[in-house]
Amino acid sequence: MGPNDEPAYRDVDVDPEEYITQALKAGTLVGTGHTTKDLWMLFLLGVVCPALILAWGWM
Amino acid sequence: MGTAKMKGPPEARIGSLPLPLSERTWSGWLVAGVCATAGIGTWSFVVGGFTAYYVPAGEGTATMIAGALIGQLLVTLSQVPPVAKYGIETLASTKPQLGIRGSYFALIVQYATLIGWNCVLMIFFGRAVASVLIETGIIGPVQADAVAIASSLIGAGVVFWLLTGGSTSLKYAGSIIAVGVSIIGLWMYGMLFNAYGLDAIAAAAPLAPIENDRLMNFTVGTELLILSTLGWWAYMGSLFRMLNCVSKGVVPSMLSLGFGWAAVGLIGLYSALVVGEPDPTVWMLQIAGPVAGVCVLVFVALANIGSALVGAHAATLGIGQIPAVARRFGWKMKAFIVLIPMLLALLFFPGPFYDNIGTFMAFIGIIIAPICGVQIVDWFVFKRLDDLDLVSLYQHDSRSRYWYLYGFNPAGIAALVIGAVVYMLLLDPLTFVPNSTLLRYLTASIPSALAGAVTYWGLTKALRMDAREGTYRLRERDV
Repeated sequence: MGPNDEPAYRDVDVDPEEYITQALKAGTLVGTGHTTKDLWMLFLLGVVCPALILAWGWM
Repeated sequence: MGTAKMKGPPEARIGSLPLPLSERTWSGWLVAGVCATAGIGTWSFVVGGFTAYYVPAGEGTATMIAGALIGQLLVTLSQVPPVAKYGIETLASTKPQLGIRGSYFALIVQYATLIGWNCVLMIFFGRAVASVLIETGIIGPVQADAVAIASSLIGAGVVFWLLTGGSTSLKYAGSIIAVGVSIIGLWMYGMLFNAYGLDAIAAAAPLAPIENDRLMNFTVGTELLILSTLGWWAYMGSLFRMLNCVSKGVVPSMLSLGFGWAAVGLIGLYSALVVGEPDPTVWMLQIAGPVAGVCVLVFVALANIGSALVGAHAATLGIGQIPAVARRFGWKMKAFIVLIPMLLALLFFPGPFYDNIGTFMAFIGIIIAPICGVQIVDWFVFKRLDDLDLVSLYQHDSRSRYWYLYGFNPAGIAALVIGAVVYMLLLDPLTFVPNSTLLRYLTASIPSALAGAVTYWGLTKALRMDAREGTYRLRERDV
């Protein structure tokens, strides 16, 4: 373990399975997932806005 | 051994493996800046110029912005959630859907997309240098080809040099370039409007529309931007794995990559309509003289090298997923391997390569649209985002949960084929000639993505997927 309580994954010849297993155990790999707000934002920017813009462009 | 003692970019130490949270320190603003750097390149003008064939300025403004947002929605849904949550890059994210070996199809798509576009960017850069030097009287027309090739190679050399710095280079170069290209882009808008006026731009007719079919032209204009924007799929892992939270990536993805590149592309649309030429190194010299030409050259250099850097970074991460490459080569050598095909194209056949850019755009759309559809179903319908087995992503044998049948997921591969066929039934991707009247109501990329998604969902159910565990029961050792 290093000073940041992370596993010793930094060797050049790192073994992927060992690196990932250790990092998962230490909780240093998985970040925060999406929220409902993110999906609503995507709906607004990716569906509502294009629909309104296309309607404006057509008229 | 701890992080405090380690030097160099993370890619040099852990290659294409998932980035730990301690390395994923980019803010939403930073990723937005680097996204703008990636998105704003001379490809924006090229796509704007293509759009001018079908629609006038008003309709083109709507189709370009809306098409880019629609395309980026598919890309964002398929890439940002897995990449920002787990710190993986694009290619690794395709293994659950395509299988460990099947993901090599995605690698081919990604590599061809990235290197193809990088070639176009560097060729454009070389030609811009030659064009400005001719206009300013520094060289004669006979020296143009040699200067263009030499400039392209120098540009590729700068990209390689920056690439050795990995994501650290993206961070610093990206921030600076984003500001520079945004300022020059606004200035180019001002020059264009001042020289020709809004009325002339608005009144200009499209260059070669499909006759007597306004809706078809409108839809083809929209499709052009959806198709082109889907190309960002190949870049996403490189940028968004630097985040530690999905929420930080949603708006930057939609606005910097989606809206941003379309906003610059509008310059190409307007100039193609009123001048007949989307290339700013030509029309800016005509209306504002050599000083403007030098400013545009700075824009092209910054924008194209920035975009090419992001592309080369993503491609280097992608080839790092090949076990033989990952075991044998460090980051610098992988970066060099990535650039070899680019150097060969720049040196020996830049003209034919540039002239066949449309083929690349077609290649992108017909494969990437169904990949997006498949990934969206996998993440959000089958809830694989909650249960991604990171170790299995890097096991290249039957121990992997994503080995399926001999390393291939039949549901994912079939979905790509069906999606590509649906695309071609609606639109000829090479000539952009509609193959069906349905195109005017549907576009081609959206039905292609839907066909891929539905095929993947249906076949996955038929192959007895265990929805609770998120794994197939049908695996090679069970057959």
